[in-house]
Amino acid sequence: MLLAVLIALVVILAGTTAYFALRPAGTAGGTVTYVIGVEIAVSGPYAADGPLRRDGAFLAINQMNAQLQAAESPIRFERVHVDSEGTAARAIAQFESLVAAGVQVVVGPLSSAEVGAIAPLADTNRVVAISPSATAPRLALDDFVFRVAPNDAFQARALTTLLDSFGITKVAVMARDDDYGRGIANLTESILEAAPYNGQVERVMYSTTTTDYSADVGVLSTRVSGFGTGPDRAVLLVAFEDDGIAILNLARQDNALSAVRWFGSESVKRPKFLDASTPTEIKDFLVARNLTGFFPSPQRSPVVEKFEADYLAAYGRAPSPYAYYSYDAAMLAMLSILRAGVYDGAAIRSVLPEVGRTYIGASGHKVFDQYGDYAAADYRIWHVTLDASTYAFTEIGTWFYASDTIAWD
Amino acid sequence: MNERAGSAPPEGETLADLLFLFTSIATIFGIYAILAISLNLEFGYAGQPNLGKVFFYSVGAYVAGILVAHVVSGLAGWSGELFGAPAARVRFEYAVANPGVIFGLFLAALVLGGLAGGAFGYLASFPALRLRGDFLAITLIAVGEVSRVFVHAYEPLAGGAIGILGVPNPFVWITSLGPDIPVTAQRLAYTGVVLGIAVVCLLYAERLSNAPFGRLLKAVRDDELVADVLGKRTRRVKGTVLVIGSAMAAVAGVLYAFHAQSIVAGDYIPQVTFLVLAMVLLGGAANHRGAVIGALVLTLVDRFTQPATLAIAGIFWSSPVDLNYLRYIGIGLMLILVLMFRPEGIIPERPVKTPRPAAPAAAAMDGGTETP
Repeated sequence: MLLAVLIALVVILAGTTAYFALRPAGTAGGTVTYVIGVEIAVSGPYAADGPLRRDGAFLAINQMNAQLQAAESPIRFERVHVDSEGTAARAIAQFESLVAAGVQVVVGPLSSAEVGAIAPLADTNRVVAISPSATAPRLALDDFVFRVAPNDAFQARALTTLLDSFGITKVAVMARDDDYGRGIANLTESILEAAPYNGQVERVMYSTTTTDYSADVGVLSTRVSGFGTGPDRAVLLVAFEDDGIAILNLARQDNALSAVRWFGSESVKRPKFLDASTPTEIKDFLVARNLTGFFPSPQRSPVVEKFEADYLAAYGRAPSPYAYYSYDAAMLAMLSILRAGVYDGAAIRSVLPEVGRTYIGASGHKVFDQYGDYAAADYRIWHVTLDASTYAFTEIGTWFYASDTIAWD
Repeated sequence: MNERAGSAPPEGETLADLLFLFTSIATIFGIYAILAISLNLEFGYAGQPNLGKVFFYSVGAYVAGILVAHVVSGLAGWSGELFGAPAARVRFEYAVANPGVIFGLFLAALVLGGLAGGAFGYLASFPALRLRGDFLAITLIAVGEVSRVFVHAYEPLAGGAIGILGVPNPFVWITSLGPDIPVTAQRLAYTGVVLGIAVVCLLYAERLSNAPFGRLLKAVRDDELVADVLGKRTRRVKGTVLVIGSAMAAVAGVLYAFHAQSIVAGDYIPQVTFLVLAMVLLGGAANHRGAVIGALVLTLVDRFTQPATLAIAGIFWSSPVDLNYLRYIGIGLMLILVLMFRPEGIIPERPVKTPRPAAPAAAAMDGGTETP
């Protein structure tokens, strides 16, 4: 009996889908609706930051629709958000669903592993994917994938210049053992250990699926102690929110780790590190260790301030750093459709670089290289400060990619 | 199917999209059906909780990925980084130009993957002989996790965190046969192969389970001591079923690698095993058709509640509550309700079908009277 009900359910589901898909589309008052796929993970490793990035894309779509309505344009953009859960397998399944729904441009996925996995699908089906945060250099290829964040090679150059400016030559890298953490650790090691820096790098890669980091922090402490003494030692933390906060909580109780300066990757500049839910002892530790890092973003400008104000008004919270990129990725997708004048992946792909060349967004000027990757990036340098009772990421300078130099504010 | 409103999409294009959706769902269903059948043999019939199922699945995927990456790159004369996007592009182009090579590699991967999975299953049978129940389950989970972390950390083996890119669909060359052949054709062909292999696995498992070996499996599951006392070689039985189940899982892994066209270590996590276990429990343990139904139900529920699939029906979710979160709650609730109100699953366990004895044997059983 139950089996019969299930089979009937399957038939009804399939039949309904086929009916709706095959029926002639309505004219809905002459409105032309284009669909933007948003494949941004909001669970798994992105449970904390994913929703903030997703909202960046949503904000862009809402703003564009408002502008089109004000201009009395018949065009509207509709969004379809799918959760890729931060894994390649789910990213593929979700991308397939979007392709089946006829979507021609997708904002996302987030990680390099996900982007690498969906790239063949994007190419074969001629669907454009614009990733807000995939940064692995080995994905560079002239394909249907665009990346609006600078790849790890920029970050590693910025980092080594920053370390050098503070006289740091011995670095213990505590990094997530995933494509992001491994990418930065590899590049940092290769640059810092080579001339002209000739430094020393020790790596501690921790599992992204564990919740107990005591053994990893113990190893980190041993490695830092092995550097000897002196002001040329530092720890570089490449972490997300939950893992990073747990690691910092253990590190603050360790004598060796409390005696060196700390640096952080771009991912450490996320609101949760300093928000009210994070213990004060950890935030005090960050201030005491003068945690310093960088993020690929333009200097303050009216565009950035407008985005931040709109985001705050819409969602009641400040955007996380990569929300700026998802906002720009969605804007580029929509502007490219409008520029192409046709909802077709190949046409969108052909105009997207030109659209980027003339677009200055919340995360900067979106110029792409021959691989559809962000061609250039300056990095803002920040450190953690305490002003009265307020902890903040305070910007203190800029690293310029063109000259590989730092200018302090 | 471009403009959602304002003008009707060409019907042929919409049909192509629906076919694409079918291939996506049917291929994943076929792969999970094989996994569910394999776990059902081990767990449902023999009572061996192989919660390291994802490990054997990954063995097949890695065999396929490593084989294709090395052989095709070598044949194509590629000398750069083996697992990155440029190498993947070279392999795809080579596969399009050399159908025999990629299809031959696909067949070789199925054979080698199955053998490798079986070999690892044999190794896993050693702890299975000494451990029971929860201890065996935990040991096999640990084996899966250790291997995943190793592959993830050791980049030269399989590309580390980003994995192996560029494992072409064995039918990728189909579209080059003519300008009118749609991209979906290669996917349809591959889906057919996957479903075909799933049917073969189902028939094999049914035959195995209804043979005396099937009764022996159930005897081991229900009371191993009694089976031992009756002179049955229970250790060999447990080892054999693990070899068979692991080989099947590895074949599923090979099929997934060619479907996904990439292999990423982060995909082979314990949740995959638990999903397969949920399929077996939902469909009905110790019943292969139940396991297949469980795989079908969970695959369909997963895909037909996706926002992207709803968009095909013109439904665009714009509520402040993320539909993706509601899906997780709904699917979890469904599983709990099924287990509460129908713990035996959709198709409950049935007695082993004993084939009618051949004529002389039947006569003997009837007391020597001849049957007409």
